[in-house]
Amino acid sequence: MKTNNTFYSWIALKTQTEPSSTADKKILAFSSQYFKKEEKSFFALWKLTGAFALTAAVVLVVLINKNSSIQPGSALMSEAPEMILHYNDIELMADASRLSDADWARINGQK
Amino acid sequence: MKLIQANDNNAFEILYSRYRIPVHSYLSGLVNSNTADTIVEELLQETFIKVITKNSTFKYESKVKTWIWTIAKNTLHDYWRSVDHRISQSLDSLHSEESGEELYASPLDSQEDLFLSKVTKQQLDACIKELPEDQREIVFLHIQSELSNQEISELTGASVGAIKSTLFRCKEKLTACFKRGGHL
Repeated sequence: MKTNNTFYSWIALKTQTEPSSTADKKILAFSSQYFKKEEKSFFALWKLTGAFALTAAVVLVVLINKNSSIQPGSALMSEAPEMILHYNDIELMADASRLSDADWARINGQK
Repeated sequence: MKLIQANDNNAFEILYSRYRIPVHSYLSGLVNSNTADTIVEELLQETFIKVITKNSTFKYESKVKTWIWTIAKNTLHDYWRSVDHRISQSLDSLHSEESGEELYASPLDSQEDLFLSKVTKQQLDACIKELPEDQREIVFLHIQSELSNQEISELTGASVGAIKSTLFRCKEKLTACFKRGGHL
């Protein structure tokens, strides 16, 4: 009696069947179409991601340039002028503008 | 497999050329129907379409061939569940698409070979159909998939010992059937 392996090799050989060329064509056509589509969608996604990254980079560069051109003091001056009025120096200057000539003469040491 | 996952159609064509015959033979051995050829081709297409579309689900935790045979087996089981194939099986057991008495050419290196060489395709088909479905599945996985008994065990859920004894018992049944001339 043949061994299991030889016996089953014989059965395998005898029961071997092959798909028709139509089935082969259908499967290969499907795979070709599927992988082409997948590749396209991959590149489309890649392009979309690339475009988004580029836009983000441009916006970032513009913002950085814009911020670097702004003077620190100018923002303070333009946005909160009323606060400056409370600075002691300004108050003093405002007071000084109201001094009379006699007051100035006294300040300058003229008697 | 990595190339297939990177949408390389040529890699799939190589894989398909490697598995088209064994998977077709496996399905062909387990589908009993008047329209078996058509159904086998449909199941084959379904199997490989799943291989194509589900390729990203392969996680390298098993061999590629085990993964493909799992898909083929599940596709076949889905088909079995979808039809009352047990009724058709009993009807088809009386039917044989091959009416010819063509003899298989076998190497004549022993008396056993001489005996087997006289087994016709009709007898062989009839004897295979005589096997219970679960045993037939193990036989066809064994002869077509090139999976080890351990891998077949993982695929079917049967123990390695059960697979070995099934193969031994099936061999005895088939030999006895051949000696009866393939009569049921």
